[in-house]
Amino acid sequence: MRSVVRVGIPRALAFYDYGSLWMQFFAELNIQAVISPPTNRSIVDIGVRLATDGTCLPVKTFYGHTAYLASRSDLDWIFVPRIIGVRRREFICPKFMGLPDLARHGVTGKGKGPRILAPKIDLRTGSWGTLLEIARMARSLGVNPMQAIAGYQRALAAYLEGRDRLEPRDQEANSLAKGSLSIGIIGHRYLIEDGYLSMDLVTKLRAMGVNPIIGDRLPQDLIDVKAKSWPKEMYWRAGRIAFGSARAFLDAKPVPVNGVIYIAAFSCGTDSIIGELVEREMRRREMPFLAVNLDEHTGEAGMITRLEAFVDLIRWRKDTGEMHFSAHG
Amino acid sequence: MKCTFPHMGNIYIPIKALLQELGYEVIVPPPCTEETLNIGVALAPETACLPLKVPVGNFIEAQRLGAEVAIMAGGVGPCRFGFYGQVQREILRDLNIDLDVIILEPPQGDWNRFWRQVQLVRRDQPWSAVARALRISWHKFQALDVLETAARQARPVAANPRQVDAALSRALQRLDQAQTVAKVKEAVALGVDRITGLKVPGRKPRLRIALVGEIYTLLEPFVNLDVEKLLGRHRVLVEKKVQIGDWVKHHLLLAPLQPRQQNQMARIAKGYLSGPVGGHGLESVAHALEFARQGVDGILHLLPFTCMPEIVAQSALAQVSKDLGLPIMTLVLDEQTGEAGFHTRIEAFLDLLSRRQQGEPGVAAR
Repeated sequence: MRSVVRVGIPRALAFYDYGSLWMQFFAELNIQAVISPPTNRSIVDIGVRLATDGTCLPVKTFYGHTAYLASRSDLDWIFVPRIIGVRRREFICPKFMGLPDLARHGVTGKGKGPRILAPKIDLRTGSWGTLLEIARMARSLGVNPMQAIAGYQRALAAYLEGRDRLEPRDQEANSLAKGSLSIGIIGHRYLIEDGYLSMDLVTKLRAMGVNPIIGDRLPQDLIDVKAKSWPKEMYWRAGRIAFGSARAFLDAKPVPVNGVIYIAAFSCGTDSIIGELVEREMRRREMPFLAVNLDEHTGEAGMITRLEAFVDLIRWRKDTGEMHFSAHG
Repeated sequence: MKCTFPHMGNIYIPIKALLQELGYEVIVPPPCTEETLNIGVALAPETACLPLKVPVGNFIEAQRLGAEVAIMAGGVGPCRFGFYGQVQREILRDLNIDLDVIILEPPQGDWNRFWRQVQLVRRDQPWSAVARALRISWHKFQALDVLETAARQARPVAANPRQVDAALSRALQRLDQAQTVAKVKEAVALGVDRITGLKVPGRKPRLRIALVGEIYTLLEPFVNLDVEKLLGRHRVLVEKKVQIGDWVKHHLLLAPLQPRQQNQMARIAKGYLSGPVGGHGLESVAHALEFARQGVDGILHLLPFTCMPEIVAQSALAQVSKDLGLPIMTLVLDEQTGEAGFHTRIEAFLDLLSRRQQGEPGVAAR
């Protein structure tokens, strides 16, 4: 065995939320982390081929990233944590709970390549279990468990600090363009920030003179307060962010928006429910609303046309004050 | 108050008993038909699963018959089902359909809300009536398991499987009409007697197939295209662990033992699925492994299209099938499922199993 342990991390799903934490953690332990490249055509194609029918686009993409890492003979492990929940009374999507199993059965198999490193992360009932899992994982990696826990604590502190620093900056960016059009964006971070899957939707909006306000980047306490105003407490992490930011946009917090775009992944289970409830509320409150459903066949030209039409429509509405034409995509 | 609820197999029998004892006027929705499904499909979100869509149809059809309140189960995740009642309520609200949806959810720490729910359903009935209602519906729930199991076992070895179907439906009718626990027991004893009386002594089933998967698709014959009866007619002995009486026992009465049971499931499924993935995903894998050990000839895995937990289970089951050399066929059910294609697939699966049984070489498990 090589002296330096090398761990691959798929650039997919929870990586967009916690990637910086994971990389810092492995750096603390002197373990070399290799991130799969940004999503591209071939990664998606491979993922589509490997995944079971009915799997959502982001999980298919995850298969593709994992397959890329599995094909590298210089890796010992692929890091696929089994995330159950990150806060009290909250789950992550059910498919996340089975990700390591999906990766094992669908990608790495029982071959000689890198093995799946799958600590169970369940912070719903406190952090003790997670620390134990980290100690266990450290043993697999040949690291002293106490050292691993200390490394995790340092990485976590750095991650939390970085996240808190990020929020005010985003807020500032959010309030910049007062004169222009503001559009609230709701959707999973792993879609919005994956330039290939989302076809750079946010950048495209900016190019159209729109100030996009990403719901996922709103302050956590605002999201929590606003999410509570729905009839039922949301039990998915992504759902709470969607509910909270949808209500914040409707209440013109932190800034008024002229419309809302919901970016969903085709065949995403949680989106089908959250999107439905959000859309009904938007319609009732007459908020211009566009649902974009991304899949592996979505064409860029069609997407641009829809965005332009939506932006034109709300600009028109804003300029003329006429509210009688429908603004629902 | 005129009260309704969604269909799921024969649960209308115990639920009706429960609500009637509580003083409700019960409107059982008309049996699920193509029309029921069409209503649901037209109104519900496209990629939601059938357990959201079909009940929408049930509710609207019951409302046309005069229902004022619908009772729906809730949940606390991570399966989507926990939000179905909410979505259904909003669909009805936006259509201005005058049907209140009451959603019953597990307390999950919020005992105040739970208490309000109980009071809402109980209304002004005395607690003795509530106890009576729970008792009779409990016995009816358990009776369903007994009668359905008897029918499953009798069909493949009866002279005519259709006679078993008829005997079962007569037994269910008697069960439905039974007003006391004594009458329930009588109905069950008579029903089992009649059903098992149809078995031809010495006859053996052609094959043994286990059903695993998502509970709604396993229990609602309209959604699973009556797969149990179909298999019975092909002289297949059908086995399944997901049964409604058993579910009620474990989820309501023995709820505190739930974590222990899940751990046990996780131990069985080890190597294939490392823990719960919501819904019945873990159970599907654990049950399949248990059935494999019991020597079934094949397994059918049923799930509604887009079901999140079962999609995870499906990929684990593919591995189970490969490792054990046991044929497992997944049947995904949705509004597009056509009867002819469905039957053809099942018949092909049965042919494969028969040929394997006869030791024909070169017949792959998948």
